[in-house]
Amino acid sequence: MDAIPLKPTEIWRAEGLRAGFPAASDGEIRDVGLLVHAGEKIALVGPEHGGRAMLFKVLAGLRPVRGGRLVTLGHELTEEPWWVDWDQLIPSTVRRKMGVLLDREGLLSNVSVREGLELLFRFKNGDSTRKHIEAARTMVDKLGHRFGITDCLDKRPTLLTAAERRLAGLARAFLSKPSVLLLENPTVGFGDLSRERLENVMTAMFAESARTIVVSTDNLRFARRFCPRWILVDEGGIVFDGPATELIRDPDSTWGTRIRQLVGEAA
Amino acid sequence: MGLTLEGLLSFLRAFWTACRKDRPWAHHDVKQVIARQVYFTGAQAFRLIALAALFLGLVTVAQSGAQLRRLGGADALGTLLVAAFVREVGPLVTLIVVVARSVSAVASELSAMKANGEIDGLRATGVSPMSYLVFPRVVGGAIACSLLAMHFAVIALGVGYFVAQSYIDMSFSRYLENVLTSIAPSDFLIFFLKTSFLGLFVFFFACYCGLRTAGNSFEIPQATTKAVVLSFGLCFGAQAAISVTYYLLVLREAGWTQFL
Repeated sequence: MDAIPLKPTEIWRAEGLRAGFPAASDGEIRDVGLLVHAGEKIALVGPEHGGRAMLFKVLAGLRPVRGGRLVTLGHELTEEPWWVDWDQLIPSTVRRKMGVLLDREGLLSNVSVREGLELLFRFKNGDSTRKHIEAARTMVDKLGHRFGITDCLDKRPTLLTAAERRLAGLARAFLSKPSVLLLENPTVGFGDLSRERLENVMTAMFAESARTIVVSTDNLRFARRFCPRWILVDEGGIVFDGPATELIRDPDSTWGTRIRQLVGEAA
Repeated sequence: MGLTLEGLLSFLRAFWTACRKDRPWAHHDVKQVIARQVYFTGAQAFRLIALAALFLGLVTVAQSGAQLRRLGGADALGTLLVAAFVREVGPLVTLIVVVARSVSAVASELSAMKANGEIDGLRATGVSPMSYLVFPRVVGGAIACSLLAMHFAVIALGVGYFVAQSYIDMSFSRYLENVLTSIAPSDFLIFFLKTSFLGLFVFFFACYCGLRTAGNSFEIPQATTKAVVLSFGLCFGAQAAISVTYYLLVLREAGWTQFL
């Protein structure tokens, strides 16, 4: 099979992508094609069990490909054989450029947030000399300050509020200073009183033009505010891929009408 | 993914790849997890193993000591105790305790981590769960198995001396000489095979059962049960196979070739 030509500015290119199973908790995607360039800010939107979660996880290199082709930062994922190694779906050289915030954060629950982040930093860098232990501590302090969780760093994740866990998960995503960021439901846990905290963080993050950000969310106001391009995923496929304005203002689109009502915009 | 041969081979391949690429034994954090596993599996089970060794040692020596005295075979006591506590009962009881305590704990811990999304979290950060979670548990568990079995053997043999005094007039130095001369180099091999080597596999099964769940909380007890049942099956089957092979070889050396 010929290699898919990938330009240096392309982050993901998918053709006929298939992943997951109908009964899987993350859903299934079939015959998905997309192209993402560096610097784009994209929202994956769509109903529950429509395949949005599976597409997100495949792009994040956390689920194997069952058919079709997906190239991630120059690394091609094709259909995995039966002995698929889920730890090696994408190589570490590619993984280092990505930061992922998952729906359940995935923070290590048996240690404090600080210990978990420092451990991951040291493990990723393959060294635990004094110099790297201090570098890990400095990095975690900086991330704590950046995301406003300094007070939470010495607590275990189970003792944090939902909002604090999301911010700690974001801090973890930034351990490798990623050029590609994937955020799954980043607004979960933030109510009216804590939303400002999140918006300050997100505004600074989305202002960085060089960073590619893909957000999987059902918070359409958040998606409208931060992501100019929307990919609507429903029934395992991509229903719409383009400027959010085009979808929302399409008078003939069922989805457009529905979203207009939800975000309170006119056609 | 269910428990299948394909799944097991896939898991083994992933484990091998992680060891080859990450060299987890060189990581300080992995060494800490190994030490914690040795403590949990070994040190925390010391009293239970000591209790088992005490009662089993007492019963075994009491029963056999009386018979040996009656048959005039007091000098065979050492051979009998070595066979019982070093080659057979010691490793078996140790592994039973380890499977019941630690294998179940490891399987439930890892399946809970899967349900909480911690496994995906590790992968998303570029840390292989094989290197950080599986490797240290397998190695730490295997080390703890042999330490516990040694602990069992020492206590059972020690208890054996005191019980033997009620049947046989034997000084401690004579008893010690009797036991030590009964230990052959092959006993160390059998001991290692039945403790550390089997320990590697039971903890490997525990990690496999824990990580192969789909991430639902109701699968946690299922993963634990599967790990324990698989491990018990392996323990009993493998220990029997090792013992039968050993005794057949002994018989062949003794010239009893009709058994081969």
